[in-house]
Amino acid sequence: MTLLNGLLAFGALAFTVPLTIHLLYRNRFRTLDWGAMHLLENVIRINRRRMQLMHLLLLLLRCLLPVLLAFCLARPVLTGFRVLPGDAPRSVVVALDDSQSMAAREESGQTRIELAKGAVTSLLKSLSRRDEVILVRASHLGTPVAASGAQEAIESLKGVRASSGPVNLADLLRAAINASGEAAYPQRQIIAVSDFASNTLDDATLGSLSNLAESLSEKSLPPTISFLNLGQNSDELQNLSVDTVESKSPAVVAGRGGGFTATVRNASDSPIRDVRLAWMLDGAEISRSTLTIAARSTTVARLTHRIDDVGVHALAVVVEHADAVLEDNRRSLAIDVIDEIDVLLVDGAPSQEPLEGETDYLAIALSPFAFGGDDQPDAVRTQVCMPRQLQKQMELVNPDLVVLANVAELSKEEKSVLTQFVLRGGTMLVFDGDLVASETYNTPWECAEGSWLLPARLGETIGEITGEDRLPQPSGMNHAIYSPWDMLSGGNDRPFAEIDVYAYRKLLTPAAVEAEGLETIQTDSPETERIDEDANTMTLWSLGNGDPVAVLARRGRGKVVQFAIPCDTAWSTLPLRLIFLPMIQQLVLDLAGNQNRVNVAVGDGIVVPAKRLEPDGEDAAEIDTKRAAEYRLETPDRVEVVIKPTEEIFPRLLVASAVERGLYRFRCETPMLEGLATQTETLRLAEMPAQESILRDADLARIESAAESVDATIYNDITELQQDDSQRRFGREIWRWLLGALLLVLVAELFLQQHAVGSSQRPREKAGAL
Amino acid sequence: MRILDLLKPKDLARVSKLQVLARQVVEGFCSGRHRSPHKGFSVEFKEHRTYVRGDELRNIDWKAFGKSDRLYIREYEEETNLRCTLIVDRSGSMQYSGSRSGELSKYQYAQQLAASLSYLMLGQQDGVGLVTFDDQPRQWLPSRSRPSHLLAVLQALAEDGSRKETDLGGVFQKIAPKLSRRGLLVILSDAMGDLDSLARSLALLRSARHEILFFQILDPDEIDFPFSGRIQFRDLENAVNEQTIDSKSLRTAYLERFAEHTEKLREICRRHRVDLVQMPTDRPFADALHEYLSMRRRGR
Repeated sequence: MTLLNGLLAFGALAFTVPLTIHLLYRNRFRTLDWGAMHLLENVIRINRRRMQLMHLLLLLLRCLLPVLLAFCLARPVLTGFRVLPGDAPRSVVVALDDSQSMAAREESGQTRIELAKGAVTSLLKSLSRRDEVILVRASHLGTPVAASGAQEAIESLKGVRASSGPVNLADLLRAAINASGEAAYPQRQIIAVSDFASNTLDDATLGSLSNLAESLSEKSLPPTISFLNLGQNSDELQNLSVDTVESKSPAVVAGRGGGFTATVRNASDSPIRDVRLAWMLDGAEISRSTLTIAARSTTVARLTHRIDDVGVHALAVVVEHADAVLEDNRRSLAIDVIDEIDVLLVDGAPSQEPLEGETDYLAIALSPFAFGGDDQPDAVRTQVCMPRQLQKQMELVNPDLVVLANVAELSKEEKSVLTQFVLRGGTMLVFDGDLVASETYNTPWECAEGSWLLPARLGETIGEITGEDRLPQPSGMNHAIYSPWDMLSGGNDRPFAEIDVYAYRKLLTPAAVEAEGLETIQTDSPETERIDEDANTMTLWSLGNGDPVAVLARRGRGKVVQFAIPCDTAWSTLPLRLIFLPMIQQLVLDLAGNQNRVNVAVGDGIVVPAKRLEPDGEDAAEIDTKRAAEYRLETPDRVEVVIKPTEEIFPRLLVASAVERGLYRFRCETPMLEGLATQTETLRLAEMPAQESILRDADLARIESAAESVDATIYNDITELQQDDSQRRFGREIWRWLLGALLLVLVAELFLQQHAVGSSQRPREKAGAL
Repeated sequence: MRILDLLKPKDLARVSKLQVLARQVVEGFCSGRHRSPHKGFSVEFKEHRTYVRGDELRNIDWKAFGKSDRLYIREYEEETNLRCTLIVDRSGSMQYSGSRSGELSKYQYAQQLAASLSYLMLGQQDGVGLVTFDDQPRQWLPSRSRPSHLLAVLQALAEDGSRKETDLGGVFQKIAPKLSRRGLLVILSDAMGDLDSLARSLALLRSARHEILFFQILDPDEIDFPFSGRIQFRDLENAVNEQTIDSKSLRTAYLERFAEHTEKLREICRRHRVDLVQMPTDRPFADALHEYLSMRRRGR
């Protein structure tokens, strides 16, 4: 045992004071001539031993009082409990979960992040000057960490907000352990502060923690890990949240109405009536409605709205309701409103007769309003050409999408143009037909920037191409994985069943090629880079026998879709069916209109092609190419920084991690001729995943399992953590026990004085008169 | 001590207004209420008798002699009075005087009370006797009703107390045979002695049909034991007996013992139909006496 304030222990010598008083008191008395000795003698004889005992006990208690007080002030510590060297400086790594669920407001009125900051601040204040602190935030796991003093860390904490996306406890701990590896002192302590919501501890995380435990065990000086759990009553919190805001159209075309939905969830046990919901476009309210949501349920709000301006717009849904997490009462969706999509239809079998050309049905399906003489603008503008006009039309039209319909052969130059077009982000649709020479398509598509293969190799033709009594192939199914075609089903599980496919090209996907043991196709020019390594072929529609009818694959920054049938009525009844128009519309809008990923989750990276910010049209000719454009980024917290584009053929603006939720505005100031400059802007939206609005605590067993795997201790209160920490470092302080004993002794002394030894009250009536 | 120290004019004035009422039929207990069966010389005429030699000439009814030429003696009805004997404890324990009694010891208080009673009774032409005692009867004055007897009583009372022990039972047994005629016995004592012996003596006295009034004279200190700190208690009846104790620590036990003692005395008095009045010395004795007599007038 040691004493923290050893000098104060000498105060125990004050026990001599009551002892001296007692001894002096024994020798000091007054004499009284007493008449009723008859009674007194009897009392003395009976009580003498008890009195002596009581006086001795009273003396003992009075001597004990200063002794206990002195030891209490001296703060004795039982060093038998110590497991760490107490005085050595240490490195404390605070792994702070600053996800949005930490913004939940507790019954006390404080948010969890405020409680966490308060607890951590309290802990940091107890550190010595020599200790170092490393703050690891869930929202900044990728960024390098720096050690600082406790006071600096406290200052850093003040700016922390609960704005991060979902946190994986294993990732957070791994980052903290890595940070502790860079700590200056061998004595390291990691404190993970979180609400331990259910999404932080899924099965994968537990597995990850086990791996982490293995790596920890290999360390010669593993850090001490503690969990500070601040979320223990999430089920009692009432929350209303906007979980999703979605566009029902794959692409939103300027001037055309688009459908939007918002899902609002009531996670409370009581229904919420007449809650106001507002739709806001670029900050201006465009629609308002009221909702009533039953307890523990969701409801969907719908909006149809036309946006006239091309560009990225922010559509926000706001519900006005006071609940546990105010942040999730608003959710936004960035909408990339595009101009008309230019589609170049390359007709391999043109005809002067109506609907006899290879692309006639397709052109109608893509521009139905123009075909019907309607005033409404079509989303797609089509241009038909013959194969020999391909190169010229590519230059003239600058299409977003190229359709090869029953095109027999393509020259090397034509293929090179199309290859480059796809690599740079264009989309190519390939429809089969009786003229198609499979060798042309199966050989690598090459250009100076790289090469690729079609998503599927063209095989033999199956079925009867002509004949009155030909039979259709068994109908198949569409694949739910391709969401733009979800609307085709309309409650029908087999929307393609009505299409009769009499003949089709056997499409051999890479998996089928490998399965059948066919020889892989090598590129002719080995110096070109093959750009299809990581792109999986996705089957969009297959027949009943499993043979694909439509497949899709990403190639470079573009996409290629292959159909095993032509787009006319030669091999199938597809163009004759009602499903044809929406199917083609959805496909084209998805392929051509959604190339730019304008919505990202908080924590994900943002990529913006620099070209997108360059002036186009007439302004493009006025650009001063001698001077470089300047790019700026404005983050959601209104901080504008200069950003440099990557040095690539297609320069991009990169944000490694969208830490903050909200709009990221990319601006470009392009120098123009005559010394002028023009400014363009585009938006990207980082939104919080809806799971952060689900306030549900992880099972206690799960938390214990996680703690056990990394040998951590769970605390619900920072005071307990500090006490345990103090005990580990210095031993167990027992001044509280001594204080308790002191109080007990005080009470005992008073009791003995008042009741056992004698009372100063005068019960006259007890001995009173007759 | 002078007599005037014992009887203050104010007290005498108050006490003289009171009348002592006997609860039971005691001969001549209340003056004027009962006619005595004994003959004597008094103001009330009873009858004439023939003169015999030796009769005092002043008692001859000369008017009757003038009418009948015979010598007759006038006889009057004697008003026999209450025979009261004051039995005053002058033992060592009665010498205690506390701070709250104005330096008046229990014995001095008893002296004044006895003097007051004597004056009251003699004023009513009742007979008053006196016995003082400690472990033995020390003074003995037979009961007389003459006013001049007051001086003798007061002189006997004025003697200082002793430092000897109390023996209530022994003393009462000794004086019982001498109290041949029944009367009122007024005991003034602190009753700090053997109560069993006292009980036997009271039974003896009651069997002689004496009315007994017991004034238990107590100092307030003896009732509530207000002391604190270490005190050496020195026995007033036995100087070598000393006890040094922490008075506060024994207070509760003492009070219990005192209450037990008082209750036992009360029980003895109740059993033998003895009127017990506890008289703390911090109260003016005349007030206490007035209160007691008023109570007797109301109740009995």
